[in-house]
Amino acid sequence: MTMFDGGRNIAVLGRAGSGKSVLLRVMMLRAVRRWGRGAVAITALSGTAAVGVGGQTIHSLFGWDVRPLNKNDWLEQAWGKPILCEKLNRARVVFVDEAPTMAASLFTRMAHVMRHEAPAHLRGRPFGGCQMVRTLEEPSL
Amino acid sequence: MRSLRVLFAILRVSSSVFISKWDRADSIGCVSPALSRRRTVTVLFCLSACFPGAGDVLESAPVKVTDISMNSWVFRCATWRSAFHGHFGRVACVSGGHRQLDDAFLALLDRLSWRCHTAADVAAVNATWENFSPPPGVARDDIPKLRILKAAAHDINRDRLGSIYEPRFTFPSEAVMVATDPAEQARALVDLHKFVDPTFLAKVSRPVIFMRRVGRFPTGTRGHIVGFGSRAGESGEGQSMAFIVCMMEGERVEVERQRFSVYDAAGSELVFC
Repeated sequence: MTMFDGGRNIAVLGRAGSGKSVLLRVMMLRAVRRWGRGAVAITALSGTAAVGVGGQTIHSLFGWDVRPLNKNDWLEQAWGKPILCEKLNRARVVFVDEAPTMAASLFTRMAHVMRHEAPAHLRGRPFGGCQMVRTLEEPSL
Repeated sequence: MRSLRVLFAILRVSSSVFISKWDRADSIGCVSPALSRRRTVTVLFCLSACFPGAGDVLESAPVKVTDISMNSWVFRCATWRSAFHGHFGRVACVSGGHRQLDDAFLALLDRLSWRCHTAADVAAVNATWENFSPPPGVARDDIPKLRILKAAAHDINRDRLGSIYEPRFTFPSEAVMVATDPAEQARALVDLHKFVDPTFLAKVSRPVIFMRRVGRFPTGTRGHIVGFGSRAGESGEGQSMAFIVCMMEGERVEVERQRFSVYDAAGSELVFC
């Protein structure tokens, strides 16, 4: 929790039933208390996993659909959606449950869009300075 | 060409996942084929006894994982390393176990996460239902079942549909090709039929789940079919109908056909139905 409170990105690792999602929920509560609900995004790749942690799908958060566009095309799509841009700019913490279900391309796309949506002085940081918290199963690493 | 649209994403019939009591919904994890498109394994319904409110079987590998492409495991990409292995982040390990006490079953879940499950693993997951005894007062058929393959879940749905003595209505889909290259057409058609069944069968009183928002009803809303409608005056058993009328939380909702498309990397539509 010290790492989390310090604003570092955290990947929470553990086997099934080890309490990753429980820990995630505690972090969510702290983040919401600190930044407000609008600044905390809670996501997962699949709808069921998202419902499990009380959030939304990654595609829903970013306004993506199933088209296999490259990351620059998705960035252009985001620029055409002012509400999405505002939402991403406001986000201070992004939680992703069941992280290994997403492929590297999706993760990279997510990082690319968030970095380029961030204020100029934060674009050198991963995800535009937005704190990332992810859970994944132990064998994945 | 006639543009045929299908209902499948909005209305995935799920007689096997019907939950008889809403207060038990938090103890059930479920994934439908429509919600797990990027997975090689489609886990449909989790048995509450094994996975109380957990995502144990939801963490499966993405499709087409390779070591060299952008579709590698997420933790092998440079973005992951810069975010979690450097100055900006850390990896924290949570040890111990609070839910799964069976080491063999834990190993099975690990194999699922790694995409190295075997036929025996599939059988073991399916057997979780066979060995389960429902609590008193709960009908066995009303409890969600865990099935690791989409085909097995379809079998359950087909059996449950057969047990409903009502006229059967069909909703066929017709693929409309936009791509001109034959090879591209073939690939697009295969991709389309991975997610859209050629025919959707339904009966009155069949339980359903919304797979996307319909009006005020969010994804995951459960209900049942109460009727069918046709724009062109078609009706009767075996007819192709235009929409389905569902009873969701005491309200009648008309669910229309939806368009499904396959796109190429440039965002151009290749085929739709």
